[in-house]
Amino acid sequence: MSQQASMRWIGARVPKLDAPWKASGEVRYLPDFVVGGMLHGKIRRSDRVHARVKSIDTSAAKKVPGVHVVLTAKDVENVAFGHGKDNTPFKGDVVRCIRDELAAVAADTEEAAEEACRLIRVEYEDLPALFDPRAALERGAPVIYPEWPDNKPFTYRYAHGDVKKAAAESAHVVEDEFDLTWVSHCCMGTSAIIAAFDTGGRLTLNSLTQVPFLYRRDMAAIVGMKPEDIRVIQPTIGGAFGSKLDIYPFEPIAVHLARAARRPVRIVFSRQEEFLASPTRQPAIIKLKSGCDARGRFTFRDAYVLLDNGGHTSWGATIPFVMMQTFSSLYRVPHVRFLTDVAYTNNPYSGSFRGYGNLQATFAIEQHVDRLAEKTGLDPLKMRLLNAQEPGEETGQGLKFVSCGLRDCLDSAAKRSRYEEKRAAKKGESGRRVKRGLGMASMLHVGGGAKIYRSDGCGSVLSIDDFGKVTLVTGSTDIGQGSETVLAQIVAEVLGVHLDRVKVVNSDTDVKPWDVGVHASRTSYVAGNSAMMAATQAREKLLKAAAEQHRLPVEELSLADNAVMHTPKSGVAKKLEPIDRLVRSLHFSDRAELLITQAYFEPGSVKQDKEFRGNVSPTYAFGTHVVEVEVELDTGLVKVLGVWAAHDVGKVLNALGIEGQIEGGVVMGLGYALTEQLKIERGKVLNPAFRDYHLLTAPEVPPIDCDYIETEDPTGPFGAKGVGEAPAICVAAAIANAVYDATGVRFTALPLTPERVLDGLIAAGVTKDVGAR
Amino acid sequence: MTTSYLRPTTLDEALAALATTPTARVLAGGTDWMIPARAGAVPDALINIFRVEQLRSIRRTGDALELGACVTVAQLLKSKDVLQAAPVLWKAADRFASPLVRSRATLGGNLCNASPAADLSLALLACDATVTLASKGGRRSLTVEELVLGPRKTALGPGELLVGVRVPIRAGQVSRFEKSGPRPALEISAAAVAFTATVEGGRLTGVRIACGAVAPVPMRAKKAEALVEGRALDPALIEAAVEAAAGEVTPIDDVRATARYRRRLVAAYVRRCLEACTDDRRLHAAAS
Repeated sequence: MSQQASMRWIGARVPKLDAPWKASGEVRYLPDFVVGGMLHGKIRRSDRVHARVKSIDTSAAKKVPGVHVVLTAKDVENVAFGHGKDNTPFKGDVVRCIRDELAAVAADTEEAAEEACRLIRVEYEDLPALFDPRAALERGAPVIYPEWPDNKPFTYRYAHGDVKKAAAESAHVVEDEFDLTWVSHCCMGTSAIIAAFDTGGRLTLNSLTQVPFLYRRDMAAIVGMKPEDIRVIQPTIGGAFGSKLDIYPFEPIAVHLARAARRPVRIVFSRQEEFLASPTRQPAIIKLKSGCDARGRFTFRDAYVLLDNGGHTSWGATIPFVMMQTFSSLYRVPHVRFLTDVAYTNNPYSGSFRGYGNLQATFAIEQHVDRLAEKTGLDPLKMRLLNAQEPGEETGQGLKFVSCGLRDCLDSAAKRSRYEEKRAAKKGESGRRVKRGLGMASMLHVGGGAKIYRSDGCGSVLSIDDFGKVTLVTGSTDIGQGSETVLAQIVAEVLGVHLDRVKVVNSDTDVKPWDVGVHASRTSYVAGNSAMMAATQAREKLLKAAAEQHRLPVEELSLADNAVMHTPKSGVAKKLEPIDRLVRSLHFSDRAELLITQAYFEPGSVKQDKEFRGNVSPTYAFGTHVVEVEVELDTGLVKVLGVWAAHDVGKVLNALGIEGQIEGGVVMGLGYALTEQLKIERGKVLNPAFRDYHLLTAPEVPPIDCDYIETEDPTGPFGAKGVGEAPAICVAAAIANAVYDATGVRFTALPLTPERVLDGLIAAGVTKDVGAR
Repeated sequence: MTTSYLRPTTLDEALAALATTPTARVLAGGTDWMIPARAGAVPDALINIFRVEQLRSIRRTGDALELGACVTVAQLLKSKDVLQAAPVLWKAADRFASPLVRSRATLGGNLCNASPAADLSLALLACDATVTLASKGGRRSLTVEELVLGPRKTALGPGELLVGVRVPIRAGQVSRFEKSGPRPALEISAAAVAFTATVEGGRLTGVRIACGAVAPVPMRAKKAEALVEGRALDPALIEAAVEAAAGEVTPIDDVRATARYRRRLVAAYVRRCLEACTDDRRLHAAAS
């Protein structure tokens, strides 16, 4: 506790370092960038969902004044890429979903490029199309890729224990099919890129990628270059949430256009294009069977998941990695079986999205917890406490919980929401046409990265200049989550300097050392540990130098207030020397030393084996949400009255930043639960605009109260673990449980739009239908 | 491409311009017009009447509220006269789009755009408003039902401009405006109901039940109105009126809702309106 009390920056409420510039509008986002001689790129996409491309006539497009180049698959080496190696920059012979790229134009103005795109004539021959993954797996279904005659490019199997035996021995068993649909990331900044070759043939990409080093490698392969000849610069990113974890065709297309036009090319998506052609959250059909014994201890879980892969593969196909952790390890479950099939269809395809499959899995599991609690006659809170994970646990899948605050999360959320009291009292309090209810759900997620690749590490280079300014060059990326600020706080804390003395550089692969990128809630943990290592080395150098110069024992020296402090035995601390003077004295002495340190942090996690076993993250985040809802029985409208969240965050690094993370995540979860849906019918997106794609707006956002459970993870920087994805994960499940509490009706599909809820209420006889002919 | 653009500052100038170019598209706030225009649907000639000051006034006379065609939604919301004399219009404005759109969108534009989901038209229909059309040749008055003929279709003749709206003030009137969520505003109604009536001694008179987004035009549920007109409400009568209203609307399926749900919403909203009239406390709230 004494260490905590003396901390100046860790745990403080620190506004994001770039907040003033964002608020004043001075920050330049990618669409604000203009490079000399730059052309504007536009993409002509397919308007068919599955068709053979008979011909593409670009002759009229090439005649539009201001057009420099028009490219199709025939004009470039069209290299396959992506997790399934089934995507290409341009589609030449066959289009497989509505967004497929057929041609691209680079022109002097956006208008000319758009006009040229309109004038490209495409002749198609329609092919039989698939829109339902269930139909895709049927015998005799149309084949989308000849290489995959069963339309099934991926299958995941995981098991521990003996599910069959456990099912037979369970006192209570519940079974449901859950159906989760498409939603969009809705980043404020749309997808964009600038590709520019210099005279030497080196390529600079101004890109919004959240994985710059993997991106450089993958891009090199697609456009036929060496990775070292590609420089990735990441300007301020207007939101990513996972949407920029993969390469998408518009990015190599920009490179091809720049190469062909011998001019820099910028592509910026319109909002409509963003809805149509950026990845979505992976839809999922989850058939789940769960059981418990007579006392309410979980016995088994048996899950079959079917994922709609759409027409091409992106990261959406890999969400089973995360889903299975929740099935196997959110609670102590001795017997688990998890099978996932991934099926090609002609729908749009999905990518990575904050939570990475966990929102879908948790929606199913946490409703089953409530259903089993009801069957057992236990309160849902008691059911969860009975089965909760604890510190020291190694789960059936091999996840090791060094720290685990799930019980505290459950207690805190329940207590602050007056969960038990309100649930007991609510029967009398509800109005005739409005019913109130409370629901609870918990979550588990990786809290320090996930070792998907051989390395999940991050490098740092730290220097202190002659004026005491500290520069941290980190491999990590800030996509708006505030990691830059947190890293500066860590460095300032270790070096005893004011935050305004710390500059974080994180946006240029020519400068920064390796990092995997922003995924798996890893940046505060992995980049934080890396920065802390580099700062600690600098601190030791400073203290050693001061000890030598002043002939004092190093144990009596410390760093604070931009200075070296001396605390004599049983004495009061006194300022010995400002850090900048000490740095100068090292620089301009006979030793002639600059204060530069470097560190590489590789988390102590392992890559999972073929059975998906192994401790994939060094630490894990837990949380519980309680929500209170009001359901209008005559219209089906669900209003959320309050959210009480509790998150095991290890340690709060930035009290203001974490509030933003939690509130933002909860609102994202509320949208997933209640209003958001990319409506796709026969492969076509029906609502590619904010008018019809309903994000929550400020008036619908309820009060959100969060408690931070500080379990002080021994491996985290100052005890912290990642929390970026956690707050979005269990909101929908808690809402579904609350709606059930209010109305007695279970909903297994999202979003809980008023129409869906009213359908359910009428089907269950809660509301009398009227006026339906 | 637009080759002619005029921005008159007086009504006479506007009518003269319209007389010269009767095919010109009239532009007011532009909020319904800009999106198709950006997609390429631009007319040859445009007359922007947004700066015609005469069309921007709100006046309360003895028995009516006179509103200019270019009164914005934001103006309606700021007006105490609107709140007191035409509360159902104020309530519709309060659920209308976003603050940005409200500062541009006009009453006349909402009427002339003739969307089946036009919330202000619906409120005006419920308070028996009449509209004034002017041309160089003279003026005429129409009811909202006479003005709005179908989706994007009005009774405006060549050279005619909608210049104002007259809302009769009825003392002791109660009103409600119900619109589909989930968002309280910034939402194109999947269904909406505007309701006005006078309640005396437990009996309803002058009942108007206007339903939006459930027919090609904002429509009155006249069978339901007739059932409750002049009668004291009881649960059975309310249910009969609810059934009648749900039966006489003719909604369609679209991206926002199914016809089935729209019908259910009309039922829910009509029931809420009528039940409020049987409850003193809610009646008071509805009258405010």
